[in-house]
Amino acid sequence: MISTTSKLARLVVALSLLSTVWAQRRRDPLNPVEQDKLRDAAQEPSERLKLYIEFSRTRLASLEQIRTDPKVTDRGQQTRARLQDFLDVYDEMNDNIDTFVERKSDLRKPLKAIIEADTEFQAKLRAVKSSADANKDEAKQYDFLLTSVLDTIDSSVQDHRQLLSEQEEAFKHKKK
Amino acid sequence: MRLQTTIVAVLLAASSLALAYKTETLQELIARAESAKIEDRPALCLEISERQLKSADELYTAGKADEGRAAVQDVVTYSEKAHDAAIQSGKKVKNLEIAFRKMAAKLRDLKRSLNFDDQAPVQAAADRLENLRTDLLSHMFGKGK
Repeated sequence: MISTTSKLARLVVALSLLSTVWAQRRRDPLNPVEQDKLRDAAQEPSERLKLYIEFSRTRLASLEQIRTDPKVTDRGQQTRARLQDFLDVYDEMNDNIDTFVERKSDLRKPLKAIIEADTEFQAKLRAVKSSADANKDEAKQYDFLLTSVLDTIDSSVQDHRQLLSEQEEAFKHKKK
Repeated sequence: MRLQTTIVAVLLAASSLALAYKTETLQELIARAESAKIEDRPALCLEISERQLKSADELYTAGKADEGRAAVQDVVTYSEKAHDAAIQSGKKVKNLEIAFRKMAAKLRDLKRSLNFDDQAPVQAAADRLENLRTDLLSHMFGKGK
């Protein structure tokens, strides 16, 4: 009897540990390889921010892929999940920019790449918005999120441009 | 001359008031949030959460894991208070939803910089903020937005 209870307890603990690990993986928008890459670039603002651009771009590519795949049946839900992944990564990139600004890092080079990527992201997401207008029922599942993503990028692109201009001014004076 | 003196005095008073506001301690801010009107409470509680999130980052970086964990707990506590006040008053719901999303992203990023043993409470805090955010979204859509 004790042995059965003990086995049961072990099983419960193992299951709960497994579910915790699974949940942690599921809830993190970045996979372990991406996390390692970011960790390696922790002290390199330029490298780290370029990685965030790459990861955001991967999420959008995945979004475009499911939007055109005729085999996908739950396109609305899949679109929503990929938009959320993109937004999570993009938010983290912005958070990292704030951190590096506080550390007074030179972000001129990565910011130029980010601004270019912003324009690319805006264009791709507006294309999703246009196609969503043609299928209103499906779009109901992700329309609010898509609007949030577009709002975030629209305001971020202004912030990134403003920051680049401030940095160019600040580092110009530092050179002298 | 008297006019100039008055202007200088007013400017001085305004700037010292602004400085006092800016340097308001966490305890003062908490006291203000506790006694604030319900419609002002979401913004004040959010400010406390954001300050504590910044502190948590600094504390973990300084190797003060226990204090970092306490700061993360404050993030959750005051986010919950902000959430409750926003639902009750109907104010700042959208702002709060965006702020929670960004704070959850910061928590996930912070988590990845920590030792495995320190990661669980930070991940739990990020998850809690995501839940609060989902609840705010449900509230917004429930109201027919």
